[in-house]
Amino acid sequence: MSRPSSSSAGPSTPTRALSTSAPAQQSTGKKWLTRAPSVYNKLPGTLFLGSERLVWKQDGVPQPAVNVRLDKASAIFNSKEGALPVRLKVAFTDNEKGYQFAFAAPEAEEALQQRAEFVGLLTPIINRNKSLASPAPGTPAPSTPGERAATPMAGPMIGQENILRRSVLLAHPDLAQLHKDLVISGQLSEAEFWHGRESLLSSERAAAGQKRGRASQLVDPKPQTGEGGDIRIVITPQLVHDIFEEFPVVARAYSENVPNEMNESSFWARYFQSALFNQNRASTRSSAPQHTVKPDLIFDAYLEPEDDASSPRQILSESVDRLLDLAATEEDHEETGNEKDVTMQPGRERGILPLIRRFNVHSERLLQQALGEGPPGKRRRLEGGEEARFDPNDYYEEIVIDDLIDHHASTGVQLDLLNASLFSTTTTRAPDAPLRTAEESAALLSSFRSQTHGYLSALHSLKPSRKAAEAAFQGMTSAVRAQHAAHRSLPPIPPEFFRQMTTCQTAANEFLRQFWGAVLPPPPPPPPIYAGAGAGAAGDRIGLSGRERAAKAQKMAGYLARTGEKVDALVKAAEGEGVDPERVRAAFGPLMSAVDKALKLYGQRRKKA
Amino acid sequence: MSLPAHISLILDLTPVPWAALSRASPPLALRSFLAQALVFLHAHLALRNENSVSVFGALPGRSVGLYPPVSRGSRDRGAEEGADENTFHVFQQVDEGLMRRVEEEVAGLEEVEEDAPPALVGALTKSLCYINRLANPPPPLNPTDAPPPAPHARIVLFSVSPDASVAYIPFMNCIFSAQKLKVPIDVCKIDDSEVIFLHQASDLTGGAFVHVDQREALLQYLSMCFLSETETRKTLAVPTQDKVDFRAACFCHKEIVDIGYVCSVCLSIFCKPVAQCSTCHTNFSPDTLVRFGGVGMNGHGASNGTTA
Repeated sequence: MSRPSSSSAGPSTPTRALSTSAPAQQSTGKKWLTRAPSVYNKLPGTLFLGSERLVWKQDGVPQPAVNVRLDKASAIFNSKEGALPVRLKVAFTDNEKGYQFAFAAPEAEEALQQRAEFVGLLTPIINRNKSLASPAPGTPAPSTPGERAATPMAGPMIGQENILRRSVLLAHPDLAQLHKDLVISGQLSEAEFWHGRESLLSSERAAAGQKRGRASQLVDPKPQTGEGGDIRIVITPQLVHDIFEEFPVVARAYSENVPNEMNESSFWARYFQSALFNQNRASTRSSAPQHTVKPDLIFDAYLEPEDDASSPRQILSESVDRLLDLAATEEDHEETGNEKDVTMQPGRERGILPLIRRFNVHSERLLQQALGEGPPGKRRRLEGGEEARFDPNDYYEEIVIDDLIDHHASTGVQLDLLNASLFSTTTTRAPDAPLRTAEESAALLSSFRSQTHGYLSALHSLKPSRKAAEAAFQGMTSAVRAQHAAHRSLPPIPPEFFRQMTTCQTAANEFLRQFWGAVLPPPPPPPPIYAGAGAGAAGDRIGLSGRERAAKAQKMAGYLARTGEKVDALVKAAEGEGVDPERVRAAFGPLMSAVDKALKLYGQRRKKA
Repeated sequence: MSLPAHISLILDLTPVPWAALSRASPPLALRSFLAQALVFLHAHLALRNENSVSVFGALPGRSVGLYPPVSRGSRDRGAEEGADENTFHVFQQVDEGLMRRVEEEVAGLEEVEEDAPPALVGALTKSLCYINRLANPPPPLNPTDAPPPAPHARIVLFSVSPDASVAYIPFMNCIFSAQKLKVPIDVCKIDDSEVIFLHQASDLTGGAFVHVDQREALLQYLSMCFLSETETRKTLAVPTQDKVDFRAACFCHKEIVDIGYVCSVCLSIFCKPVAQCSTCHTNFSPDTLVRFGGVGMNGHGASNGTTA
């Protein structure tokens, strides 16, 4: 029997399948997309496909033997054309072997059709699962986070935290190194390490919560040369589905020719050898000799002429948003300008044009799918009963920006130095100026004036004293020499020793950070946008009780005291490595002063308390 | 070939510091200083034909342009006195013009004003405006001629007194415009007072800061450090004092602080939290103060990180 063409090869009409399957649909009370009699484990039964589940029930047995959720489905496999019985295998991410069903309809054709229904419905589900599973971060256990990403409510919150931490550590190798040194060796606990680094975790959480959309790659199956010069392309039902969506021409060809003119496998074989496939490829490389294009009676009928005219054959979107439409104000510019630019052509050669236009069509389709059909303005207008008159209220919301509205005119604070004397940077006020009497001032001024008279005589008798000049010269050259010596690059420290030095420094920095975090007043709670799902966890970390903070401060002070010994050990070891020990000590100078300051404060606190 | 160079001198012509300097050891009188500055200018003019000079003076409370002379009248007077044939005419022009103006201005000083600081900032601004004018010459009369190339300018500032505190913001503005104009500000410090602004000026604009120890040999310093042009300085090693004191001082006590409290409106620094910023008079929220255990709030707040 001839079936309507579209339902066999696309996601389009599950309703059609519903109407042609068994009429006892409504009596079961469940909404199954399709069902078919099938055999599983050599037992007769019925296979039901729901929107989220796949259920197989043996005839006569009330309990279904197979009842799986479809969000873990990973692949489907068909048995060969013409081979009986008609089999379908579904594999899952946690069950590689999967389940194998054989369609047991009395007629082979009917079985094939039913299997095709199942395939058509399962393929988009599998594609969706694939895109959901891919953003899982590259953790050491790839399957578990993939599952967790798909079922966010499943795992406990703490498990989620650990995953986030692991992914943060993988993203920052130096942080991972610090973590390994401090936490694995037991000096710091995990919670302490992450305290203060919540921003990293929250950004990671936000990134993980994003769902990936459809893959946007242009469908371009590449043939691989096998042994003996054979060209192999693996055809999976997903690939078929994608090809039909990308190139509707092929879908049309398939629906018109299968199963009348040729069967499925020969259809694909001839397609991949035809000029139609070559035209649809996503590269302009000319076909290599191994991929000779044979003229094909059936497929060549679907060949469209090359799309390299001066304007694309398919005008993509007719309606332009009013706010962007240049033609809207054409009357204002009649004399001065805005001519259509017919000189703008994509690509330098004509051969590139079809490829570019194909990409444009592809991107447009992806965009439409992602955004939904039609611009919202247009939709609104149709709903309002086809207003022909341009309604300015349509775009009001887009034009008005809330931030620009002056809700209450504030004059602002004029930044002025009201008390300018505060800006003196001299640490002491002007030195005690001797109080001068009027005569003294007058005398000073007149002597000052006299200095400027008769410059010529001073100029001619100018003779700088030689000794002073030489002393000045010596002074300046020694200053330059000192500068030069300071900037001269020193011989490099051997890398292993240098790594030890850096480890000591970063560990001490971490202890200092923890110490000051415990001693100083706590930071204010973060604004709600950043809290996200982990708000609860971050909240109770802020409120460390006073005793806990004191204990932490004490622990850190102990570690810091030992830092001094570590530095001394390194300085001693420097001799053996051939590095000047004074240089090493100077390198640790700032660290030691910071440690000393922290310890001094701690000592003062303890004395007070 | 390199571009012509322009030096802009800024002289401090206030009586009080100079009087102190002439009594200091080693002493430097204004007369000798002016003579050495003139020799320095001659050397600069002698390096190239197209080199040019401008001089600005900072008097107590006002600043004046000393050279090139503005009024036309003085030129006639110069012609009257007759050119001295033993002196290169360019040098004589500069000497005459500059010294005449200096005499006039100094003679105009009425009294010793102790409190009016020298208007160094005014002089600096005027010299920057002059340099900017040089950089944008008027179009030549013959339109086909190429406009003359703009000279590379630099400013040499002679400082004899400590920083003028009121001129902080205008001074920083001058430094930033000098940075934009790519004009290095060289500073020659003749007396021994602390000048942090001038340090920063020379550091930010890429100039040299030289503190003159042997005052009698000022010319030696000038010719060694300030005579070379900007490009040449990259190959020469100019002795400059590169330890600039960038440390922040708190605005209430002028003490150097390591950890402090900053007003988020005007960025002024305090060593202890205050209820109101003394510069811009913004009121801080009480929660902030409570958290920091600030002044005037309940004194049970935990004590904070120490000041230096």
